[in-house]
Amino acid sequence: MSIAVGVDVGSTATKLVLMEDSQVLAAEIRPTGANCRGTANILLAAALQSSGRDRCEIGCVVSTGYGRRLVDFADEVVSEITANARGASWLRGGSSPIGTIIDVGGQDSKVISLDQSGRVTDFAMNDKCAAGTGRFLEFTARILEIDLDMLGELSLKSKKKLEISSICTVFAESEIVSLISRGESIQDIAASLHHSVARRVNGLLAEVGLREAVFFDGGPALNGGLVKAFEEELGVRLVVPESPQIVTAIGAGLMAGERLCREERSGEGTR
Amino acid sequence: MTTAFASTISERVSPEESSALRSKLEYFRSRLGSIVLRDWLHKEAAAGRKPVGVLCWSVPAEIILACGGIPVRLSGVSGEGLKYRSELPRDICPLAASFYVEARALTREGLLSGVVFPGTCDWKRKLSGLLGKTKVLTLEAPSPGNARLIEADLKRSAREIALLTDLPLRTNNLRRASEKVSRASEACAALHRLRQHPGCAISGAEAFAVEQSFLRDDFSRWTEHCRTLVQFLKEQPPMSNQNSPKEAPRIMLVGSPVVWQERSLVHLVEEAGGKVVSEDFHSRLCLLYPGGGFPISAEADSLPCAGQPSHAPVAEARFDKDGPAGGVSWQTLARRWAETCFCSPIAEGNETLLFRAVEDFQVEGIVAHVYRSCARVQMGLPGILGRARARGIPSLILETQGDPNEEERLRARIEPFIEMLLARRRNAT
Repeated sequence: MSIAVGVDVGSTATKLVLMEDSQVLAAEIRPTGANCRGTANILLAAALQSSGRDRCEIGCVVSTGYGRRLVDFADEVVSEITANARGASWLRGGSSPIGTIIDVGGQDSKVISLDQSGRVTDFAMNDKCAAGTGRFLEFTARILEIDLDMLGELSLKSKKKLEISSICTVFAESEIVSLISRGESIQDIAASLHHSVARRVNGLLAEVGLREAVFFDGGPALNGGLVKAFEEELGVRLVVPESPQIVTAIGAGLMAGERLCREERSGEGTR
Repeated sequence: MTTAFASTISERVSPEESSALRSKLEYFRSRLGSIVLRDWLHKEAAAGRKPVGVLCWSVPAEIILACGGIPVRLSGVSGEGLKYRSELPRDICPLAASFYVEARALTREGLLSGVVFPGTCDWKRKLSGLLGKTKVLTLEAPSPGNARLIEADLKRSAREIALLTDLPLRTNNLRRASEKVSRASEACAALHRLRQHPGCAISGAEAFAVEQSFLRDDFSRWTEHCRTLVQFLKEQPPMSNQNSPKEAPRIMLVGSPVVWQERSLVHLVEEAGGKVVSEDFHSRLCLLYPGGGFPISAEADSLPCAGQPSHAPVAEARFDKDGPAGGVSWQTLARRWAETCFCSPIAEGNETLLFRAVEDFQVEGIVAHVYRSCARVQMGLPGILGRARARGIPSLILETQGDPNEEERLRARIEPFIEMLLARRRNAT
């Protein structure tokens, strides 16, 4: 039993990775939906199938994210802040250490401050408001009647800077309608939306401070327009991993692997 | 599935100790229930005393007692107010909501003569209108730095409390009442002081139940139970694992007062692996550090009570010409009222108290709780927490509406905070 599993049950998507000897064997992503438990089980089955491994080979499962307690095959739960820090530091490897992580999720945004050894020294999260989250972009893309995946691409073609309030997702709708009626281009509106998210997250950074290197993860990090907006607002280059959605799941998988090692050394077993 | 931090502190002591502690705590938990409360109020009413609902424990209980009343704390002891949200204004402060529900029900049952609360924020002032036929006395918020004004407000309030109870203020009663309040406060302070010790077996959630039950029973009875509990805790050996690096990080809870319920914020912090060792910016800390938080005036510092616990009665107090007889000065009462009013504007002295407590209680992290509707706390907190961070004390701000459905959102913030504190400790050692 040598496979370690990390599961990140987020508000929008659930991510699962199978790991062995600190290598990712398989990674699966699926919308969380209403049945977190069922989704996690489907992802596990899919990951085992794609890697050609068997369930009985699993040594330890660590779950994280909003629905972490609902994963019925988990051996341990950890917070997503700790898992994210662990995953990001591991992915960064021997390069200059990460000073700050920006994680924009479906329902919340987080900024995490790390020390030289990758330990969390401080963090801040948005509170009870969708502004500055992936949900804000999803909502506004719907108003613009464009696919969410297109939002980033369009914004990169922007030629004019527009101002959109970073205060409220709901009120942003009326601002967008006003901009459309003024004849502003979709590209410029899309770019202003990304800047709005970046400014909001910048407010969180004011709480914990910004130190380079700045690592950007979470599903919205796939959006090139958002990356550009962050870089312009913060005045720094961001480090964006190849698969930013699974960073936290990888962190959980690494922690499961570490637990496996400890148990092997002590002769105890989880399963 | 296992979680890294599952047990409460009292579960970590031996089963025998835990069982004895639980039996000592049972009295306090029972006082938070509505059936026990009603039984007590019926008995008091039958004995000719007049129950008066109060919103918080800084309301001058001595004056209510001296007017033949029984101060009964109605706010912050039940989450039931949330069930009546449809009857209440949107976004009402949970403390005001819990007060409203209890006050309304007890008035309808004929168990309250009236209610007294400080008008320190808009929600409390709006309560007067919401409570309809209930007799309401809204106290003016103590004005920092103006001892004369606080005294004048208090004298006017005393006259109005006498109208609520239909009994005159008996000056001879005032000294006895002051002593009762003082003894209860000292018992409460003794419990709080014990929590400075890392080996103290009582958890934050348990201590929270004790303190929330204050003004939910006869003063003398509550004081006796509290003293017995303190004595029991003093006799317990320190918890064996107190020096273990895995021991729970010590948390101070500050900000908007938390409403007592089975799953309060205090419980969530402790379930996540923290130990709540102290709470409140001011109202409880001032019991430990008399005179440290609320600068009234230079004149007030020369009062006989200076340097004594805030609730201490004064043996030979000076009286101004229209002050009451019986050995208690209006200045003393005014000082007590001003010092313990949680909602007083956050003064520089309060911050000094907070940081003094951070050191004395060996606090490793501050969890700041803010109701969305609590502008007073929202305005004061960020600056103080920023200065705490500058001193190397991490903090976490949690905005809530006191709704049970918020639990998972709060956990998602509290758990990493505790994990971070543990990692800091490991790093330091």
